[in-house]
Amino acid sequence: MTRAVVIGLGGLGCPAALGLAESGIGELLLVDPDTVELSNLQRQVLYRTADVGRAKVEVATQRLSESFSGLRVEGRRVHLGAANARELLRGADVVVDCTDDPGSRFIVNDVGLELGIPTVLGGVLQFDGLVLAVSGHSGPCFRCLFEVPPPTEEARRCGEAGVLGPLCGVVGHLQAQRAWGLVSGHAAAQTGFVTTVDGLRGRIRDVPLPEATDCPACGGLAARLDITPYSCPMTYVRTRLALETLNPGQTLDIVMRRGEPSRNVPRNLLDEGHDVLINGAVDDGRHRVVVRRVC
Amino acid sequence: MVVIKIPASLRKFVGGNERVDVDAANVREAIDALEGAHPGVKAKLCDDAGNVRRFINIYAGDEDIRFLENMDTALDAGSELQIIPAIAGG
Repeated sequence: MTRAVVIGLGGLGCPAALGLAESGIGELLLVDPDTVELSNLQRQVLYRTADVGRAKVEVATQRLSESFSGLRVEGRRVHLGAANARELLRGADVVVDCTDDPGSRFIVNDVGLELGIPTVLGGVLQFDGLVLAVSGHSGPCFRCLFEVPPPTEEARRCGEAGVLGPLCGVVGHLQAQRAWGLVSGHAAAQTGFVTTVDGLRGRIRDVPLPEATDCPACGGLAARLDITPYSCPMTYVRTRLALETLNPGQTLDIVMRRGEPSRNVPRNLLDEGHDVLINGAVDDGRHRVVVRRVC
Repeated sequence: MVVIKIPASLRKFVGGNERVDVDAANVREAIDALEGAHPGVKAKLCDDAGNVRRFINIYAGDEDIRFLENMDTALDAGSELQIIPAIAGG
């Protein structure tokens, strides 16, 4: 049974948990220390006026159990921190960070990579949103993009600065979609980029995550290689030449055409003893392989 | 002309514009030109030493400038800069 953990049950956590339940996930662990406040109701869709003052995890667990009879859902009324993150995340197939605590995203990112669990990190404030999914076994990750959390005075929260209600729904549900993709064999299409959501214009854009970061959390992605112009056997010749420029332990992110290249290149990499970390379709025409050089 | 795309949270510092067009040959000149047109916005992007703050990323096209030439990254006419701040809320 697939188990997801949702950290934070606010503007993002409510639609993310709902989206995961809608996707047919088997088990949900909901983590949040707070109680429902009147000002939450505009965007935190699992709560009603009569719930004000009740623990968010209690209300959300009740609502989701009522709506999704096959779902096993439990709540933990705690704040995720460095001390309890491993215990909360262990056993999960995917973790979705929906907190308003920028430090939490770094903890979830780092512990997810340490335990080999894929994570989906989201943020939303005023009219801006972002979503970033990290494979449990390789970068690039959140720390490749942002080296440190913003200082407290810069990190205004939605309750203080305001947030566009429907933007929370878009970003939270996009987090649920990415989490579903990560646990259902579509990781190749979910990772390697950050999605920015412009709530004013309604525009969504994917930007590749940086390479060669020497990231302390994931080790970084050493290089990218686009072999879509080539056919076999040039696809593998190009791949081997690129791998030879890497040190053992470094990773290469390769995009190729679907069909013969996507059948042959991963098999050849495995035959030579390398670790194939991600292997799957990106879209109708393109296939992506992330490989770690072993020898 | 270089196009600087402004995230929604910073638009109030640039007169509400979604994009600001500047004449610049590199990223430093682009940010200085942005500051010239909209005084005060540079402090939101850069620290006192003039370096991009570590919880903000600037992309030239699809490349993070930290892994190009940083503030010296050359820009062609028609280049696009995108600013991606770490968004704290949830």
